[in-house]
Parts: sequence; structure tokens; C-alpha cells
Amino acid sequence: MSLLAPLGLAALIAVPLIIVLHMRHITPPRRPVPSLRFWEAANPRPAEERRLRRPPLTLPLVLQLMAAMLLAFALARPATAAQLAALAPGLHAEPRHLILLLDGSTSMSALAGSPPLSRWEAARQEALARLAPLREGDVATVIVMATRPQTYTATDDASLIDLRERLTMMPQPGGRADLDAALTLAGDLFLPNLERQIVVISDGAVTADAAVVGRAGAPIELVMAGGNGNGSQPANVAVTDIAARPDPDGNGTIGLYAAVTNFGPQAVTVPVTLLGDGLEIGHSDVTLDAAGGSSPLNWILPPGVADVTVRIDQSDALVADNSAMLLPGEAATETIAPRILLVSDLPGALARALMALDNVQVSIESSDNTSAVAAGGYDLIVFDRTAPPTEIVPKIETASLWVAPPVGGPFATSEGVSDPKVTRVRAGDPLLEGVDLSGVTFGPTPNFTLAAGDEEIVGSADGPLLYRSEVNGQPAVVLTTDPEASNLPKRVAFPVLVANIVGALAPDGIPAAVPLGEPLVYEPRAATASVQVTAPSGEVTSLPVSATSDQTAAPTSVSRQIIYTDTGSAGVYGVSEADESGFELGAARFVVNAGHPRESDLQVNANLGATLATSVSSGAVATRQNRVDLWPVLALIALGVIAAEWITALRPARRRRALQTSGASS
Amino acid sequence: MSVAGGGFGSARLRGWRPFRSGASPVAEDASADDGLVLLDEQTLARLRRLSLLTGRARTEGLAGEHRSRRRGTSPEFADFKRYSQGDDFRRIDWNTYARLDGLFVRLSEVTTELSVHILLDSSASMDWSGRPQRMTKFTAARRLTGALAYVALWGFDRVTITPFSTSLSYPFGPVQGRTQVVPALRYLQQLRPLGGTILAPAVAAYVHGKKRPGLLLLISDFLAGETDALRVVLHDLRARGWQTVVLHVVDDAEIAPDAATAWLRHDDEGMSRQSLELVDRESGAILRLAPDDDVVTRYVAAVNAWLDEIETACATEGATYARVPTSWDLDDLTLALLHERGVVA
Repeated sequence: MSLLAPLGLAALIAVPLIIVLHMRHITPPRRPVPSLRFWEAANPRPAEERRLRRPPLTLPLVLQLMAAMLLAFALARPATAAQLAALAPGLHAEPRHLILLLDGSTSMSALAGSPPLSRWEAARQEALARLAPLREGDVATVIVMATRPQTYTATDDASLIDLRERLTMMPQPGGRADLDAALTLAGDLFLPNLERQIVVISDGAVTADAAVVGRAGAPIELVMAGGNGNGSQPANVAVTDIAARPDPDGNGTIGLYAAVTNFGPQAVTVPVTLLGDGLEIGHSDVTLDAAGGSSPLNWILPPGVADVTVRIDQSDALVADNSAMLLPGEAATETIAPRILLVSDLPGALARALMALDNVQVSIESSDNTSAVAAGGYDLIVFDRTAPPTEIVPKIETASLWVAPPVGGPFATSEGVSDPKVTRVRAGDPLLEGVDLSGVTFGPTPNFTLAAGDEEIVGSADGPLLYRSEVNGQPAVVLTTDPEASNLPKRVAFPVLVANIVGALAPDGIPAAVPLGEPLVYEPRAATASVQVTAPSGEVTSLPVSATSDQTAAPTSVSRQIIYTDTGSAGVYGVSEADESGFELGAARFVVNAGHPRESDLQVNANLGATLATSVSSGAVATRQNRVDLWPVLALIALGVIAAEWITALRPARRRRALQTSGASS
Repeated sequence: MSVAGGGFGSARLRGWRPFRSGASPVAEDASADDGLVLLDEQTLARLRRLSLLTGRARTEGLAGEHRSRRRGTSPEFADFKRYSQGDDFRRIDWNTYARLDGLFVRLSEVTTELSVHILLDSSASMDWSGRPQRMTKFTAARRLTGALAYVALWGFDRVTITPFSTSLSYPFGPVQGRTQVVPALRYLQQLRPLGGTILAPAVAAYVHGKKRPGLLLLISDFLAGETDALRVVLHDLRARGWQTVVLHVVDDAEIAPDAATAWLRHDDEGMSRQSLELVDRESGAILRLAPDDDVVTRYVAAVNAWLDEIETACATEGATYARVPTSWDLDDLTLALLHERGVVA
């Protein structure tokens, strides 16, 4: 037995107080007598006057002491082993904080059992069962593990009912479950002075870091949902990847790439069908090795195909990932891809590199057409060996890429022209990711000088070759050398470098496909004030465009990201952008596919149970585990003792009334 | 108050000099005992068969129910005597003369009235009872007074009831006749105990105001004053020719050792107590004591000694003494005691 509130024993001070009160030499009762003459003669020595006397051992004193001690112990809240709870089911247990980590990942949509029941539904029923025995004073927190963890907390009966209803109606969010993040969040959410417990309800297809588990500060119980706790590995084949790009041959066809993976324990041969605009345009039987065996599929789509679907014609545990969809024609027709203005009098390698980029719209204007630059509305302006007039430069209000800007342009140069060689490279810069500059030669290049705030990325002995700068407060990248005069366009490094620069300066376009549950993150175009996302169910979500600071970018750059998280349903999502007046600037679609190498793998993490079992309670709550609070029992007994004391105190009055009644009647 | 000012005429009370005009034992609020029935019909029926014994008290005045030592002309035959000069020859019994040839005068008995004076102690000490369900000494005294007054009035005696405490209060009477029974009982019913007691001066003042002696019934608990003062008063009464009957009203808790011990050590609820404070009903004085056995023993001894002194004083001075416990039934024990002591017959 232990005391949950030892300070309550301070109430025992009432015991000596009661004794002292009873020791008081109170004024004795008075009785009238006809005369004192004989009493005075019989009592020559008056009664001794003392303030205190020996404590009288009377029934009221004993009862009052018992009540005081019982109440003091009740205030101290003694707790005993939970085994007593079985003997007295009415005992009120220690209020506890139960945190349920509910796996809402895509793999939880797998069916199991007979009749087939999704793991999500089984997990939800288990969660409701865990919430049912909670009482007033208990705190329940449900963390739904998905791409974006959702947290719901109930602290009283009303909110607990609301939490149950919310859980009953909650759709499966999908995505990937991050158990480590959920455990860390749970550790932060625990309320003090409550018995703590974490229950992980999952299909076991998650991983946990032992260090994170150790910091959870509460015992963790793993509940396998969907009957997958027997160690059997369910068969599941999924379309884990799909992509399309225009055929480099330029004949209008589109190359489609898909990956089919077998996560089952045995090798299988599955039929795969390719559908284009709903019609079968391809078929293939794919043999896949067991336990992650994957096979790539390549098709050339005929021109004009709007949407394609790769479908596995075989049923398995997880149906959702048996097909994947793509909108290959969306790239050509999309209207909200970043708009790039290429100002060039002689488009060459740079133009080709830009045109080869996915998910962008490239417009080419000559340097004479300065109105196009001044008009704005582009997400990136690329000046190819040219520069706008001086009066036009201040009107550039977007990011810009300057390739071989002429001397006398907006960037400072020093005298002299040289054939530079790379002598300095800013290692790890994202613009150089995948760019190999070895063997690259450069033609005659003016010697540029860096202004304050400029950041050299690649430099030579005579000056920078590639550096970051600003034009009118907007980010700009300057490639000082003329690619046409070097061998750079002939190397793989050039399109990669151009793609990196465009990726850094232009906002990201909407991806063609998003995995189930993964958030859609993209940067809307410059004039966009709001974005509407239409889910496959028809539900429309309006997202205001707000500027957020991007910690990874340059300090002056401003990133305006749209994050749409409700991608739990597979299907086609629509995105439309509107300006401040509500005028629609453009629309696009993206596809959410359920197949994912991690979520489609339904194999149970064999080490998960052992890892979670290493969790230990913090010292503050360890002693409260499996305890039953005895204060209600003690308070009840104290109440009975007080009632007995009252009866004892009232008995003489009743007796007096009875005597008076009998005297009156006689 | 109807008794003091209305019922018997203010003219009769106007010349009542010995009574002070101050505190009257008749409380203004007389509603508390309005419902008290001093004497029930059964008791009254029994009382109607009784009469007060005159003893050495002189009868006087108008014809009454009591035999007198004087001889008169009433139809009640008493004796014969030889005719002598001066006798009323109308009372010569001629039948005897014819038979005995001698003149004999027929003597007849004279019945006269008796003046009954009842002095009732109405001090606060009388307002006490050792047990809540038992009547107070004052109530018992009022019942006794009522019974005696009823007997007297029923026998056409002249009755005066005078309460006293620190002084004599307004009396009831003197009245005579059976029609005064109800007013007398109503008067007693409305009396309230109040104040202390000055027994000897009050009795002395009363008898000094009377021209002729009579039967004096002194009803009190005699807790005030010393026994010697009572003896002096009784001696004075005897010297003046009064027949005195001392009726000592006591409570068992005052005189009986067991009852006194029980009363002292336990309160009304039966709870034992270690100490208590005794409050004098009359003076308000407080005495704190621990009711142990020694105290009770000494108390009982002092009370018994005091009782013996009173009884001895009464016997010495020729007064009839009767100790009337409040627990006794008036119909039975009390009247039996009075009969035994020669108060009633």
C-alpha cells in the first residue's frame, strides 16, 4: 500500500485537537436545588478548578477520533494492489491518462478475417473498446498515425463521448505511419500525476526506435489489429510506382514507367493490364520474386491518351494498391505549371534544356519584346545572353536566371576577358546536386565581380562563374559563361544544372501523382491568391496562399507553399488557382495512388513487440501502476462513523423528549 | 387578578394591613398552570366525607359543624344536670321530673364554626422537583392546601389561605361556605412560586394580626431559616392558643439517600457526570461540587438531622407534624397520614 497524496496525512493534526477539546474542563452542567444549605455543609471543599483534565474515554471521543483518522487517511489517498479491485469492483481506480496510437496508414486498409474486415476498422473497434472503461477523471488521447498525425483529447465524460463519436465517424487518413513521431508526441502530451499508458493499435507494419521508446515515459502495449499477430505474412502485390514523360524522340508519344512489387512470402506471376482512357492498351504477365521482388514495366503510350491505369488483375490483401493511375496528358495541357519566359534571340541548348523539363510552361521571346518582361505574370524569366534595357530591369518582379549576361548589364564586371577554369566549387550546394563539372571547358568570359550579398557557387581565378544574386529583391542566378561557347551543353551536367536552377527559382509544379496519404506540397504561381482542391469525393477545400519563410532557401527568398493533406482517398484530385479577385488562373489535376513500397508491405515488424516492450515508466508514475485508490472506501467508513457519533449525540435528546412525553401523560 | 381584586371585593382587602403591597406570588402570567387540575372529582368525593379535627382550637362565632364545649339550646342533647337557680326553667325535662321526682335541666350541645388559616409557602424553593415527571413541591403543596380548604369549606368553616415568601401576600378569604370551593381552588391554581422565604417573621406577622386563634395549617418545605426560629414561632402560636399543624412538603430526592444519589450523579438523560454546579432556587448562589459518595453521605446526614430537629421542635411545642412527600398520592397516603396525625377525621 502506498499513499498517493501523503500531504493528506497533515489532517491527522485534528486528532490531538479533538483530544484537547475533550480534555477541556468545561463548565459542568448546572442543576437547580431548593437550597444550598445542606450541600454547602456537605461539600466543604469546592471542586478543583483545572483547565484541562485527563482525556475522558467516552464513546463520542472514540468515534470522533476514528472519523478524523479515517478522513485523514482518505485525504492521503492510500492505494493498494489492483488485486483488491477484483474483490471490490466498485473501487475507484487511479485516474489515468491513456494515449492510443492508432495506425491510420495505408496498410491498415488491408482486409483480413472472415467476414473480411479492414485492419483500420478492427483498430478502430479496439480503440473504442479501450475508451469504454474510462471514467470521469480519466484522460484519453487518440493520436491517429498517418502522414499528418491527428490528435484528439478527452478530459471529461462529455468530451469522451465526443471522442468516441468522432472516432466512429473517422475515415482512414492513409499515408505512412510514423510511430517514432507519435511516441515522441505522446510523451509530450502526458499530463502529470496521472497513471500513464500507451496503447499502440497497429497492423505491426511500422518501425520504432528503441531510444524513442525508452523516452516515452509510460508502458507501451502493442495491440495487433486485423488478426495479423500470428506471424503469417499476407500476400500482397502492388503497383508501387508509375511515371510518364514525353518520348525524347519528340513524336508525341509518351513513355510510361510502372513498377510492380510482390510483398508476399512466395514468388508469384500476376497479370498486369494497362488501360488508356478506360480501354485496355496493354497487358503483361509479370513474375515477381517473393518478399519485395519488383519488376519494371515500360510502355509507350499512344499520343492523346489522357489517363492511364496500371492494374493488377489479381485480388490480394490490400486491394487499394493493385492499381495506379496517371494523367500523362496533364503535363501538356496543364495551365498552372510554372511559367518560364525565355528571353533569347537565338534559342539553343538552354532552350532545349528548359523545354525538356517536366511540369513547366516555357515561352520564348526575343530581346526586342521588352513588354513581355515588363508585363510580368511569369514565375521565372531566363535571359539568354541578353539583358533588358536599364529602364526595364526595375520592372522585373520575379526570379530570374541570367546566362552570359552582357557587359554593362545589371551585373558588375571588371575589365578583361578570360578563358576561365573552375577553381572553386561550393560543395553541397543544391544547384550542383548531380552536376559533374569535371572536364568542362569554358569560352571567353567577362570577369564578373560579386556584389554585397552575392554568393558564389562556382568560381575561377578571374571571377565567379555561377553565383546567386538578387534583382529587385528577387532571387537571381547568374551563369557568367556562355554555354554555347563551352562544352557544357554537350555534357549531362548541363540539363541537370538547368533543372536544379529552375527548381530553385521557379515554384514547384503540381506533381502528377501523390502517394496515398502523402501531403500535396507545391508552390503556387506568383499571381495566385487562393487554391481550391477538389477531392475524388467532390469535396472542395479552399486553401489561402500565404507566404512562409523557407529556412532552407536564401534569407531573402519567400516561399509560398500550399500543403494539402487530405489525400487519404485514391483517385484524381483537381487543383485550381485564383487571383485576389477570384478569377481562375488555371487548373490541374493530380493522382493519388495507394501503392507504396512501405505501406504495401504488410509484413509485420517482428521486432516491434520486443522494442515496445522495452518501454519503462518514469519514476513519478511507476509506483502508481496497477493501483486502486481506497479513499472512497475510507470516506464511506468515516461517514458511517460520523453518523454513529450523531446518533450517540442525539440519543439523550430523544430520551429526554420521551421522558417528558411520559411525564406529561402521567 | 380576579382573586386579589375582584372575586371577593376590594372592600374586604382594603383593610388588610399586615400584607405588604409588593411582590405578589400570584404571577401575572397565570396561563402556565391553567390546565392543572389540583383535585379531581374522585378526590373531592372522598374529601367530602372528612372533616377537620379542632383539637384544642377554639370554636367560635356562628353555628357551625364543630362541637363546642359550651352548652346551648341546640336540638343536640348533651347531658342532664340538676336544676339550680338561674337556669332556664324552659329547659327543665318534665318527663324526668315525673319519673324521678326531681328537677333536671336538659343540656344541649352547641356546634360552632372553625377558623382555618392556611399559610402556604410560595417561595422559589418550592418550585422544584427531583424528577422531571414528578410534580413540584409547590404543586403538591397547592393540592394539599386545596384538599384541606375543601374539607374546611365543606364543613362550613371559615377559611383563609395566605401565601407567603419573603412576606405575606394577598390572602384568599376569609371565606365560608361550599360556594367558595371553586374560587379557592382557582386561586390556588393561579399561584406562582416566587422569591425567597422568611418563615418566622411571616408567621408571626400573620398571627399577630388575628384577634382570635384558630387552626393554623403551615405548609412549607421549611428550608429557610433555622429550626430555632421555627420553634419560637410555634411556641408563640401555642401561647396564643393556636392549634398548629405543620405540613412539611418534601421531595424524595431531598431526603432519601438513594434518590438523592441518583439525582446528583445523573442528569435528566441518565448520563453520568463528574462535576456539576448547584444553583440555589431562591438566592441564585452557585456551588460547584464533585458528587462523590462522601458528599452524598454528608448531605443525607445533614438533611436527616434537620428533619429530626423540625419534628422535635413541633413535638415540643405541641404542633402536629406531618411530612408529606411529593411522591405520595393525595387520596391515599397523604390523607392517611393526616388522619393518623389527627388533622382530619
